[in-house]
Amino acid sequence: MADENKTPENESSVHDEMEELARIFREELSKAREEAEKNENAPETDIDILNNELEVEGYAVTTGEKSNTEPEEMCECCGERPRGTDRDPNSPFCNECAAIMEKYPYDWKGIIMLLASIAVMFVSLITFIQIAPIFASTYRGNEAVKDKQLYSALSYYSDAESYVQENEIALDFKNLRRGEIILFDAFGVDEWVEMKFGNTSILCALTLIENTYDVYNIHDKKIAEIYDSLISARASILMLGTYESETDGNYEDTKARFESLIGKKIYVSDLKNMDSTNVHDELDESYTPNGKETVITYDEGWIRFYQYLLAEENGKTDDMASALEKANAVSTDYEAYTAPFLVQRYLDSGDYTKAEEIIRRMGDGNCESVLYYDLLSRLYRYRDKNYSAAKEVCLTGLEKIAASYDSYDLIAYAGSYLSMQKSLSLIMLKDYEGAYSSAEECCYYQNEFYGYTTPEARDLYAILAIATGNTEKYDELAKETQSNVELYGKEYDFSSDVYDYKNNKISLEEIALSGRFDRRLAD
Amino acid sequence: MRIIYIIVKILTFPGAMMHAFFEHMSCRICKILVDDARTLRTDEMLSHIEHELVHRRGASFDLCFIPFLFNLFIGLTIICSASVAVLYLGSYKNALLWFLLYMGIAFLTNLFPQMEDVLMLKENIYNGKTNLAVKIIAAPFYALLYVGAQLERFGLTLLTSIGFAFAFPYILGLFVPKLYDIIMAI
Repeated sequence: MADENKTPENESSVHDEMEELARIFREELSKAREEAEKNENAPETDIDILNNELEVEGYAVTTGEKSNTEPEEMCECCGERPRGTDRDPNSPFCNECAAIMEKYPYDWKGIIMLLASIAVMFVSLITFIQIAPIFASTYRGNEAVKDKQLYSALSYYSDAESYVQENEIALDFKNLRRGEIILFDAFGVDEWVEMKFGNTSILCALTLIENTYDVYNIHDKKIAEIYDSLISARASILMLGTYESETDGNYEDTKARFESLIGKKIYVSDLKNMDSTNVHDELDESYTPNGKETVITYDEGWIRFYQYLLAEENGKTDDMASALEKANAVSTDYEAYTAPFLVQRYLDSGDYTKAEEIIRRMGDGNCESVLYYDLLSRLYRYRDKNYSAAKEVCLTGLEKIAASYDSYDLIAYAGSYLSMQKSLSLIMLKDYEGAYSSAEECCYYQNEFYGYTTPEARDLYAILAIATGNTEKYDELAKETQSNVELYGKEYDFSSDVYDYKNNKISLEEIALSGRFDRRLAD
Repeated sequence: MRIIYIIVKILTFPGAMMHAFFEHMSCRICKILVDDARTLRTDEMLSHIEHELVHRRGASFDLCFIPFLFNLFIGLTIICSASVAVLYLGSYKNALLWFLLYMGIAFLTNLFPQMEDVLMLKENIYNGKTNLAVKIIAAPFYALLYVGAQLERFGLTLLTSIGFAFAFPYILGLFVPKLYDIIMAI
């Protein structure tokens, strides 16, 4: 509407009106000036002030054009005093105003915020000092996991955990738990097998994950995957254990039964209290699922492991290898339990490439793994005949593992395998005294970790006692063995290697390369 | 863009107020004339104060850099515990830590000077009167302040400070574990 009224006629009338107003203003101003000139002593009027301002702006009062005179410029702030300060003559302010502006008072809200910020800074610093050790340990743990130094990671996470507990810090460190779970997963079935088929470990892991799920409400894809695999492993082990105990002793039938479980479903009615009573599979005709159970698929890796154990019990070496190779084909996750047997088999058959491939993978998974150093030492001894390197690997392994995690159990565990390997390498280097000491160490560590000495360790110890002329020790071991034979049977006697060596039928080097002393407890 | 800028400033008002306060402090130190020193306001001058033009090189640099340094120091001090505890260790259920995180982000969002002040700094440094050495030394600082002021104009410093909060534990991880070892050894 406003635009419609905007005609040329209207515009010219407004212009005329403005011109008229300007003319009246100029006339009035001239009159006022004339009167002011008549009475110079009269007080300053509003018109005078306006006139002064107009002059300052550089306009002539009477004509409306630029003035040629240079009026004195006044302070921009007060307008009363001339511009310019002592420090800056070009300043638009006078000295007085500049002094006030320089010392402009602080805003009280800013001062309050400053005090509040200082208080918050202190709170933050105190909190940081409290959590810095946890952060330092967790950070190093995470870095160690990235670098595949799993024992070091375990050590750092344990430090963080114990600091939280000792100092009763009431914060939930969800990512510390996450790190621990991922570490547990990274350790793989190696640790589980060492702890009697992993039942204890799996339960620990499940509890840990459940706590993380329930208490900390983690919704993490990686943790969910680990949780599922643990649940599957736990249910599979429970079911396989049941089948194993029900077996009628027929090897082929049991093997076929295990085979038939691959891909079958398991129904778990109580996940948190999982035991043989609430776990059923789809082959169980007496059980009808009610739809409320958690449905899990059998873990093929564990099925293969049970097949391997079954084959071992029945002395089927080829089937043992076949089961483990199939487990490896499912996933490299199972390599920790498949590697010792398979690597030794490849070394015996001269298939060093396959052996090395597995060993390298083990090292890539955990460069602080006892098994890695154990198998690498074997590789150097069998393939390269580099006995010094084989011995060095054992020493490096023992050193690294001892430095990684301050746990006597771990040192004993590492010592029980690596001392044996070291002893065998020293035999090849003809350092029999050193080999004897290593065999002694091996027996000691086995006793510490497992509570008993394996026949292999005892036999090697006895052989080296003979080799070093330590008849007293040999007699002591022979006496001990004899009493075991009397108590438990003939299978507790020395192996034929001991008697053969005693009767000079076999050399120490032949013993060291026979492979019989490379057996691990989990083999 | 102006509305985003004002929203970001209001959201991060503790940092904005402190930036204005430190700007005022710099003005007093450098004897710069101040027109309006309100720290809490709801226009585009929130986080800054109104002051007269500065023609001295040092004063211009101080005006831009002192508030930056102070806010950075307070922001880092506040955010260190929160970013480590919440964003790295996953302690999500503690209200105090979330508050510290907010405060830290608020301070780190309001680090940079007004674009006019940065341009004034450029005018004062990069002219015929300044020698080459000063120009070279001042270049990285000027670049930092210029980029920061540009980001702040679009409210992007909120995003950069959140990103920094996530990255900060990894920066701390480079020296805190070693520092902790040294302290424990002593």
